[in-house]
Amino acid sequence: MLLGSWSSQYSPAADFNVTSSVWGTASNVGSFAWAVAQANSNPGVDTIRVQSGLNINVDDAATVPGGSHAWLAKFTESALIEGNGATLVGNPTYVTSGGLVGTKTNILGSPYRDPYAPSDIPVTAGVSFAIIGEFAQDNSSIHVSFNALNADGLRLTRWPDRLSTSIPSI
Amino acid sequence: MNRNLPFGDYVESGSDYAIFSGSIAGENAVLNMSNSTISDSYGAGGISWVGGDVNVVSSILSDAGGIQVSDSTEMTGATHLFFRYRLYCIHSIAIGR
Repeated sequence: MLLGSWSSQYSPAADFNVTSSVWGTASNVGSFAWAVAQANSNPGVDTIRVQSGLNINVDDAATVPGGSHAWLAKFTESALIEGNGATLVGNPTYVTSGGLVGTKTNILGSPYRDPYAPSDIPVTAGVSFAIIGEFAQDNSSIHVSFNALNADGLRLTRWPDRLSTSIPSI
Repeated sequence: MNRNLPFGDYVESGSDYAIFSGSIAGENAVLNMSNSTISDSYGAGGISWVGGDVNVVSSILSDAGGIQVSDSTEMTGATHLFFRYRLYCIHSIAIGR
């Protein structure tokens, strides 16, 4: 048991550099999505180093649906994210339970109102930039650290099941 | 104040009922956040955490719903934080059961 703990703590780790200004995919080398995928597949506490001052646009990023949540990044292993002052900007698309696709130019719902009203239309899931571990599981071995990483304007997201968002007349 | 709902009534929060999904969310894991900013994220909220540990220092959550922790989450190091709210003006830190 002790050996296992020690070996996992000191497993070889790697650095993955993010240089792309778009979110990308797991196959786009240099993108944030790629770096997360690499860190998840490589044992040890890997470091994701983001180019200093980079603005990473997530407008074209499609969230990954999963149960009650959707996400852009999912960490299944420990990682250190050195943001170096970089900022995630923009809004990923989101889909309501009625199948409507919302984007920043197709706003479904308004943040400037009460978050729940009888006329609201329930949506299916919430959206997060990052999910750490698997829900309803023991993720105590997963330690994720963010340093100097900013997120600005990731606001067009869905509410959790219990809450809802309204769809205004368009 | 005449538009204090839903906070005028009891709000149940926890692993089954999150107030918001959280720009960063997790369960029974460890989150360390430092020198970072989550802003203009009033739809998703800031951090939503169930169980495990949350350590947030020297960070700003601006118009981002704050931090929601529940189910025995150990929250430490909450120093040098700046909260500014558009939606969640009362529950700067929501702690569920």
